Parts: sequence; structure tokens; C-alpha cells
Amino acid sequence: MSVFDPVKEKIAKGDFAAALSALRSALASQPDYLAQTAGARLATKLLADPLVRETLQPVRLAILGSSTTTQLPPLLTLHGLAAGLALEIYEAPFGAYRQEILDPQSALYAFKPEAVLLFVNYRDAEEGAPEAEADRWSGLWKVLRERTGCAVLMNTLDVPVERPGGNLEASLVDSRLARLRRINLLLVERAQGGAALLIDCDHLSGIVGKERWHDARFWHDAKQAVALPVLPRYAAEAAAVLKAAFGRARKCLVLDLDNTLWGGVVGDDGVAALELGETARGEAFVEFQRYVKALARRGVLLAVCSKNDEANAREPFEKRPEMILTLKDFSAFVANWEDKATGLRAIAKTLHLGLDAMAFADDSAGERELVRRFCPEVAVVDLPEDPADYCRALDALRLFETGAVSQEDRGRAAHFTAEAARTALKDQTPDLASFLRGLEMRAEAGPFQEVDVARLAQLINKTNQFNLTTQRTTEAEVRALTADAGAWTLSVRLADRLGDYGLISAVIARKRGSDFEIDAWLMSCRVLGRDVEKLAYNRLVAAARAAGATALVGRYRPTPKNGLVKDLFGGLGFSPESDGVWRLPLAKAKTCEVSIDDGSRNPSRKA
Amino acid sequence: MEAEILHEKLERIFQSVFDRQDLAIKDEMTAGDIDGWDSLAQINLIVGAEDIFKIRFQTAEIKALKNVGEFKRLIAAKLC
Repeated sequence: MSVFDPVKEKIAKGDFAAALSALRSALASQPDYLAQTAGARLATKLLADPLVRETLQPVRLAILGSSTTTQLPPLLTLHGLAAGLALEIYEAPFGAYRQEILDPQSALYAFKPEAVLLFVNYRDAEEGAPEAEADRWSGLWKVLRERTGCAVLMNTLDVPVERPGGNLEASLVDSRLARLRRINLLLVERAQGGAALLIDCDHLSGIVGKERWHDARFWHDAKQAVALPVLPRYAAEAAAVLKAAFGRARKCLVLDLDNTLWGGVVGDDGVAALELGETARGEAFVEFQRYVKALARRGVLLAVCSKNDEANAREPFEKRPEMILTLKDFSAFVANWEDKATGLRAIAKTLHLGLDAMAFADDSAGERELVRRFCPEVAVVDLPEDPADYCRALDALRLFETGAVSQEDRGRAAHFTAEAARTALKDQTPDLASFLRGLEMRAEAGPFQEVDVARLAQLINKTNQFNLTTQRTTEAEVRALTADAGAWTLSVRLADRLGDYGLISAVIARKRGSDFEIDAWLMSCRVLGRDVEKLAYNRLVAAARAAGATALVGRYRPTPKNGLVKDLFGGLGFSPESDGVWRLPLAKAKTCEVSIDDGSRNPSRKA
Repeated sequence: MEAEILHEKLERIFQSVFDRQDLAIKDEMTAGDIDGWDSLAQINLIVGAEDIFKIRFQTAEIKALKNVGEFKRLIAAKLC
């Protein structure tokens, strides 16, 4: 039994598109090294067939290594095939990469490569200034490009495990660690404008674990710079960069909706009950949307393919503020009851793309199987059981690598550079106010809304620390408040440039006589020290004045957990009365400075 | 681990490395008896055995293994 058995079956039936699809699935499970060497033999068999080659992009790849490269060609052939490339490989003699590049008569140039892979490692960084080292490499890139016009791929330096200087190596510019890191950064600069495409081995070795990546035994025995058990991961990474360079990366991500972008089924559960933000699982869906949004910003086209009534499918985008993705992010939106293979074909047609430019992500194994069966060219993403693992599962497939740098990317790079300059000009002394301003916090605060009822009830019932009265309530009671003209309510959402915290604070007050009484005031501890309580206080003062009250009255009911807020009222200028009651005559009330941009909904409803 | 189980597992590693599903290993077999048992295959055998048996060979042991029987004895010793 081998993970590649389904590939063999499809080859035996002569169904090559299905065989390639099965091959991608097998590799997605990251089989071990020996299994992959067996897979590589299958790949060679597949590549021998002219019908298969017809669908692939042929690429002449030269491997120039400073260490043993014997195991690389079969693994690269395997991963290249899965990426849509038919690689023809030239392997330069061991360690002769400089001679091969510099000698115009070398076998390298006779091979006429379309791509050259510089398989180097940290040991190749010579002593001396990092700048000189980076120049040495970019000089070699230049010679290669001038003589062949080929794409140049090079490994970043895989910073080793051992540090003779211990942690100090991170703070000394001339330590080995700092030098290697600096060279890697300089390589990034030198690589701009397509001078080279870097395969980020330093990152990859971190992902697989540097203690696995670097195995001194195999270096001493056979000059294997990358331990063989993790070499397949390297081959996958190199193939991803190659496919981007040769235009075989996927261009469009087609997404399911229910249990893919949010938890629950919108048609059954209703838009308000969908898991989105707030709960841990809900946060996982938001995080996935954020990853997908980042893909869109990089130029990946997004499409929806969902079994839903169209109106239902659109509703969460229109009504749920936690949604990161908006309808505008999607280039195609297919929500109907037809099978998804038909939906994918329709999307491909609309966007003028081949099926081999599309990827499809769905939580349902059944839908994925159907798409594999009827659209084998589509890359299918097996979303795992737990939405917290969605981002990693999608990321691991390296579907959307880009080689060329777009105009927009350039614009962004310029923006970052300018930003760095501005930061350098600023006073470097940290102070809280400027830190808070720097977070670019935005609040959305207003009366309780029907759509938030479930979250409000949950917040009110689960908040123990920043909770002045610790009054529990049912969803029905919260719902009643949304329609109660005598009650003043405030719910606050907070977001900053680092993320969205969702609905994090609630206040319930009521005018009784000439007092404006605060019956409940609570806030999630995730946003402590962010001025949210001051924002709520300002709103309370304004609402009390608008209602014609003369004093704001609060109550602190101590519990074992809410000691945090015992001085809250005192700090805001309230005076204590008996029984934990605090009073603030509105004539004396001041407004607090708040470093949150208060983009309010209707600020005060009648009390 | 029982000797037969160890034998079977090692045989599967040999079959995989040499791409011969019918390969039957015997204790006295050496590199000369199996087509393609070169230094590359040797490393593949080591990596395969480390992976399957969750053991670790020492640097000096990588090249020292001369026949199947020695390989089995070393694995068995490491499994104790």
C-alpha cells in the first residue's frame, strides 16, 4: 500500500488528468522521503507519455549545487509534474557552481537552461562583509541572466542551529547568526526587479524545524546540506517558485460559503446565528477570511461557489460586521443548487480562465470528490476538520506563488519604505498615548441591535472581571431591551490596525427620576487599557444630559472576580454613597480624552 | 520487536529503495548481491530504517553496514 496507488490506477486506465489530480492529492499528504522516491519513478513514467506532456509546460532546469544534489532531480521532477511542469534537468558537477557560471564554454551553457537553481547553503557564505557576499551572489546572477536570459532561483541561507555566541549572536552584528540574517536581507534587495527568485530555505528550515533540516551526520558522510527526510519539502518549495516563474501558478480561488467562510449554514441557522468572530471557532473563520483577503490583495481572483439561494448567500456579507471579505472582493458569485463542477466551469468561463488556473476550497469531502472527479484540472484544497487549521492547509499547498512583481506590489514596497523613514524620524521614547494612537483604533458604538443579541447575551453572561454589576441575562431579555424605549443601551465594537476584536463592551442604563442609572456596564478583558471604558463613559454623560437628567448614578457590586473595576467610578470623578452606589452630578462631569476613532452608529437613543 | 517482524519491515524498506516488490532479503546478502546497492542506496536504506524503526544511526555506522544480517543486528540492538 502506498499513497501513490491511486496514481498507478489512473495511469493503468489511461486517465492522465485524473492521475495528475491523484498525484497532487498524494503529495498534499506529505509522504515520507522513501515513498516520494517511489513517487518520482511514477512521475517519470507519466512524463514519458506524449499525451501527458501536451498538458504540461516544458522547462529546462540546471541545478548548480555547492553540496550533493543527486537526490534532487527525481524529487524536483515529481513536484514539478504536480505543478504542471515537465522538467528536463541538467545537474552540474558537485560543487562546481562558480566555474560552471563563469566559464562561457561550460556544459551549463551548452544545455541552454531556461531556469537555473543555485542550491546553496549557509556554509557558502564566505567571511567578510555581508554586502560583499551579497554582491558576489548578485554578480553570478547577472552573468547567468546575461548569458542565457534564464530565470535564476537561489536558496536563502539556512541559518544553522548552533550558536557559539548563544543569544548574544542576535545582538552582535558580526556574529555568524547576524551576518547570515543580514546577507539574507541583502539578497532580498539584490533580487528586486526579477534579478533572482529566492527559495526561502531559512523560512522553510524553520517550518520543518532546523534540528531536522540540519543533520550533521549526512553532511559529514555525503555532503548532504539538507537532511534527506525533509528534502521533499525543499523540492515542493522549489517547484512552487518554478511554477510561478513559468506562469503555472493558480490564479483564482473558488470558495464554498457555509462552514468554509463562516460556521453554520446560513439557510438553516439564519444570518445572526452564524459563527463568525466572538467564539474561538468563530475567530478561526475570521482568520481564514483574513488570509483569503491577503491573497486577493496580492492579485488572486476570488469566486464563490455555494449551494444556497443567492439572497441567503449574500446576506452575511451585507449584515454581519465581522465579515472580512466583502462582495466586492469576489469576481464571480455562483450560489444555486447545481452541482459544483458545473459551477466551477461557469466561473472559469466568466473569468476567461482555464480550469488548470483554478483552485477550489470546500469543507465538504463529498463536494471535493465530485470536483476531483469531474474537473480533475482544478487544484482541490482539503480543508481540515477544524477551521483553525484552514489557513495552514491552504498555505501549505503553495498554490498562488507569484514570480513577477506587480505594479501594485511595487507601490506597496514604496509605501513601506516611506513608512520606515517616518518611523525613524519619530521620537523613539515609548509613551502610552502615542502607542494607543498608533494602533489606529476604530470603534463602532451604538444601541443594541437585533443581529447582535446572541453575542450580547454571551458577553453579558461570561464577563466576570470588567463587570460592575455582574447581572446575568437571557437572550430574550436582551432582545426585549432592543425594543424597550425606556432603556438606553450601548454596544461597542473595536478594531485596530492589527485586527478586529468584535463586540467587546455593553452598557445598559435607564433614567429614573432625575438620575440616569447605570444598571450594567461590562467589557471584555481583551481590550483592557484601550480607552474603551472612557468612550463608554463619554457616551453615558452625553446620553444622560440629552435625557435631561441631573446626575449619573453607578453601582459597583463586588464579586470574587471583579476587583479590577472597584475604583472605576472613583477614577471617573464619581463620589461614593452607601452600598456601592456612586454619583456624579452632570454639572461636574468632564469628558475623557479617548484615542479611539469613534465612528458611531446613531449615538444616543432616547432614554 | 520480534525477529520476523523486523525482517519483514526491513524487507519492505529494501523493496522500496531498490524498486523491486519481489526482492527477498537474506542475512548474508551484501552490496554485491543487489543491483544498485551503491552509496546513494545505502543512505536511502539508512533514512528509511530510521523513519520506520524510529531509531538513529551514528555517523560511523552509516558506511560500516556491509550486509543484511549486520543491518538487522544493529537495528535490533538499537530497539532494545
